[in-house]
Amino acid sequence: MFFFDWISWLLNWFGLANLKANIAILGLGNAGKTTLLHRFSTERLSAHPPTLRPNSHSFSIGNVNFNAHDLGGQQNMRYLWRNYIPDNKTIIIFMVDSTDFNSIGESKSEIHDLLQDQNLENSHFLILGSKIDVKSHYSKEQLIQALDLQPYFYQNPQPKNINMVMISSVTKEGFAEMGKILRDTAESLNK
Amino acid sequence: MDFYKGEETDGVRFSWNRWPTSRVEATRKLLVPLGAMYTPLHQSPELTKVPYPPLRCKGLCNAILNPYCSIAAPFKTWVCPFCLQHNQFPNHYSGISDVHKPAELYPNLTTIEYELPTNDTALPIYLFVVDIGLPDDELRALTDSLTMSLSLIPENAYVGLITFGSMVQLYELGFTACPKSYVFRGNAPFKATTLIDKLGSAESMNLMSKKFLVPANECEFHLTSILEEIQKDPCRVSSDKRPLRCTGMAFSVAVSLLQAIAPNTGARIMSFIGGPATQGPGIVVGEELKEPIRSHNDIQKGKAKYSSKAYQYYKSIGEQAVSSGHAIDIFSCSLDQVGLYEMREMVKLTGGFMVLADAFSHPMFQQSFQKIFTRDTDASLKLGYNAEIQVVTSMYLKVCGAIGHMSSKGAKTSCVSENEIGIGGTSSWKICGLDQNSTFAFYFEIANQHNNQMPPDSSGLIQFITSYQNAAGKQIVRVTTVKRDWVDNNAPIQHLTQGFDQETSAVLMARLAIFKTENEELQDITRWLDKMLIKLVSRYADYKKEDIRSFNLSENFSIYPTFMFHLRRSNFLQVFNNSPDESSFYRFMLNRENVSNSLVMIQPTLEKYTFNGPPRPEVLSASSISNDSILLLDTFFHVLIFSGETIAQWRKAGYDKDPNYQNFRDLLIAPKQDAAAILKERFPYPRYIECDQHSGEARFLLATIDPNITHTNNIPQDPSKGEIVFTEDVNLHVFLEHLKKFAVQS
Repeated sequence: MFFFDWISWLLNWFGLANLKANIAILGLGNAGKTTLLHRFSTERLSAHPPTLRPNSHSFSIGNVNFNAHDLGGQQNMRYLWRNYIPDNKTIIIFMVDSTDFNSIGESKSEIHDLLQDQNLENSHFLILGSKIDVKSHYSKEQLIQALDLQPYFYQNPQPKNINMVMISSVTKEGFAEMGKILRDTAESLNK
Repeated sequence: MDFYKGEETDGVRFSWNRWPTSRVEATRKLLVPLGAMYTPLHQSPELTKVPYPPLRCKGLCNAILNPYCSIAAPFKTWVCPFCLQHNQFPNHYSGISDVHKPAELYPNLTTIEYELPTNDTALPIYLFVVDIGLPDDELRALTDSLTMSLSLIPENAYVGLITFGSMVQLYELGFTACPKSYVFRGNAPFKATTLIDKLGSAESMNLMSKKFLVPANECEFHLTSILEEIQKDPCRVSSDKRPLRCTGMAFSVAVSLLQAIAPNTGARIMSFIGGPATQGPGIVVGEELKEPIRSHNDIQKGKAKYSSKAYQYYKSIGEQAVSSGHAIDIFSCSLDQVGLYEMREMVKLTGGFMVLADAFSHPMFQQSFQKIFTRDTDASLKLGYNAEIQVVTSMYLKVCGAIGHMSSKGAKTSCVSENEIGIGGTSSWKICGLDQNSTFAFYFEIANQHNNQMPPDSSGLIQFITSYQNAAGKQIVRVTTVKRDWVDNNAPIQHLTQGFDQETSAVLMARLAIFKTENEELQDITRWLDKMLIKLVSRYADYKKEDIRSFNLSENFSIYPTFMFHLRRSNFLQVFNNSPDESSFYRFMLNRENVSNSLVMIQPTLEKYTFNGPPRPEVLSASSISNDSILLLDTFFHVLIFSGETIAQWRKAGYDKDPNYQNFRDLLIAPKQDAAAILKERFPYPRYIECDQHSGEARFLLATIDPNITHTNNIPQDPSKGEIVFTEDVNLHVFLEHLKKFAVQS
C-alpha cells in the first residue's frame, strides 16, 4: 500500500495524475440537483424522487475527478448544507430553477446567506440556472437581477469567485461551459 | 387455483403449488425456485388454540401430530407421515374414535396453536438505549415519547435505561433516592461483559434483585423523573465537529447486561439513534465534519474507512444477543445518516424493528413507536419473543435454507439439503423478535431420483413448528402443516403451471436478489434476474420460434414480467440518490414483509378518483395521470395523494367550501380517508404526502411510474391526459418487447 501511495504522490507532484475536487450541490427542492448529478455520473437522463438523505457520487471532467454531495433542498434539510462544505476548497454549486418564478425570492435569500457566510468567504461559487429547455424561463441577466447578484457580476474586479451558467439537463445545453468552469476551478484549487 | 385460501388459514404461500416428482424434472421445470413465504404469527380469525402441549413423533423427525397422520381403529397408535414412524398415543389420548378426535387431527385445522401450561410466565423486558447527542428539541421529543410508552407497557414488564453520548450511562433504576448511574468510557479498551461482571455478584445479577431492570409499575415515577431530567451530552461540540457518540459501546453494555440478567427470556433492546457513531468500537465516521460519512461509491470501491470493521463489530453484538434470545430494535431518526448500513446485521439477526424517520418529533417515528405499545387490539402488533422455527419435510423433499430476519441454529437434520439457499445448512432457526407481519422465505428442493416412482396418491408435506413467548409471557407452539400434490412427469404441463403463483414467485425472487446484494454487484444481480426471467418465459410462453408476433403468455404468468420490470428499477436494486442507510432500510423491509406488502414495495399501487364513478385501481404508468383526477399512490414507504392540475386549481379557488359543489368536496375527501386507513395499518408509519401536479413532491410519483410518456416519446395529443416524464429510462413496453425477442430466440 505504502508503495502505491508514494507513486500516486509522485505523479501528483508532476501534475500527471488526475486532480481531485469536492463539490456540494445546493439549491431549493426541485431545482434539478439530482438530475444534474445523474447526468454527470451516468450520462443518462432519469426521473428522481426528492432527495431525502445526503448522498454522493463521483464523475470526471477531463483529468479532474469530482466527488459531489447531493443535498436535499427541502426547507428542513438545508441546515445540513454547511456540514458538507468543510473548507473553502469545496466548490459550491447552487442550482436555481429558472422556470419557477414563485420561489426565486427563497433562492435569493439562501444564496445571500451563503455569500455572506464568513466561513465561506474564499469559497468558489457556481450558480446554475436550470431547465432552460422549458419555454418560459429567466435569461441569465434576468436571473442575476432577480437574485440580486449584480454587485457580484457587474463589478471589476469581481469581489468573489463566482460564476453563473444557464443549463438544461435534458438537452445538455450549457454543459460545455459548466464543465470548463468546474475544471478550471478545480485546477486553480489544486495549485 | 386459489392461492389466497392457504394464506388465509395457514399464513403460507408457495411459488409452485404442484411439484414435479424428481430432482431432474424440478431443475428443468421450476425456473423460479420452489419456496414458501411463511408468516408464523399470521392472524386468522379462525385460529384454534388448545391449552395442552403438542404430541411429538418419537422418531428422528420430531414432527408434531397433525391432520395428515394416519390413524386407524383401534386408535392406539398414529403413523408419522414424515418419517413413517409408528407412535403410541399416551393415555390421555385414549377414547379417540372416528367421530371423537382431538383438535389437532381435524382435517381443517392445518394450523393450530398450543399454549403450554407453564406456571411462571415472564413478561418481556424493554431496555431503552437513548442517544443524548441530540439537539435539545429532539431529545425532549424523544423523552416525551418514552414517558408516554411507560403508561402503556404492561405494568409487570421489566424496563431498563441506558444513555450514550461521549460516554455510556447505565441507570440503576432500583435505587430511587436519586438518579444513580454507572458510567462507562466510550472508548474503553475492555469488553462490556467483563465490566458488567464487576457491577454485582452473580446472585444480584438476576431479575429478582430489581437493580437495573425493574417492573414498570415500581419504577414509573422514578424513571419518568429521570427522563425529564436527561440533559444533552455535556461534552461540547464545535461547529466543525460531530457530537461524540459511542454507539458501539452502548450496544455492547446493553446486550451484555441482558445476557447476564435475563438470558433466554423475551427481551428487546430499543435503541433511539440520531447520529453516527464517532467514537470507540463500532465507529462509523470520524469526529471531524471535514471527513464525510461513506457513500455507496466509497463502499463499492473499498474506500469506506470504517465500514467493514464496524459491520463485523455490530454483527458480533447481534450474535451475542441471539445467543441469549434478545431482539435489537433501531429507531434511526435524523436527516443525515446514522450508520444503519453498518448496524443492520444486529437487527436482521435478532428479528428486531428498524424504523427510519426524519426526526424524533416526526410522525414517522412517533406513530411507529406508539404502534408497538398500543392497546387498541385492532391496531396493535401481535408480538412474539425468543422464538425458534423448525421445518420438517416429508420424504423426497429437503429444505435448502431460509431468507429473513433470523439466524441459523445449525441443526443439520435429515431434511436439510446440501444445496444451500440463503441461511442454509439447518432446519431450525432462531428468531428473537417476531410480529404478525414477520414473514420468512423458505426454499426447498425435490430430492427424488428420476427413475424412482412415487407411491400413488402420495403428496408432499411440510411442517413449520414455531415456539415462542407471547406478549403475555406464555409459551406458545404454533404448528402449520401443509400438503401439496405431486405432478407426474408425463402429465400435461398445465397441471404444473396451474399451480404457479406469480405473486409469491416474484417475492421469493426479490428476497433472493436482496440476499445477493450482501455480496454481489448490483449489475450482476439485475443480469441474473433477467436471465431467470427469460428462461421462465421461453419455457412457458406459447410462440413459434423466431416469431415475436406469435408470442403469448398465459394468465398465470402474465404479470410476472411486470413485477420484474419494477423490481429492477426499484430502490432495492438501484442506489442512485439513496444513501447506504436508506438502501439498508428499504432492503430490510422487503426482507421481512408478507407477499402482499412486498408486492406493494416492488410494484406500488395506484388508485384513481374521478367524478365518474367509484375509485378504481390504475396501471402504474405516466398515462394514468390526468389533470382532472386525484391519484393515491402507495409504495409501502410513502403514501401520496396527487391532485391533477385542474383539481388543484379548483381547490385553491375554494370550490370545496361552496355548498353547491358537495361532490367536489367528496372527491377531495375520499382519497384522504383511504390513505388514513393505510396509515393506521402500516408499520413502520409511512411518509405521508399531499401534492399537486407539477409540484416538486409530485416527483415521488413520477420517479415510480412506468415512463411510457417522455419528452421524446408518445407525447399525448391532449395535454390533459398523461404526464411527460423527463427520462431516458426504458419503459415497460420496450422491456417486454426485448423479453419477447430473447424468449423466442432461445
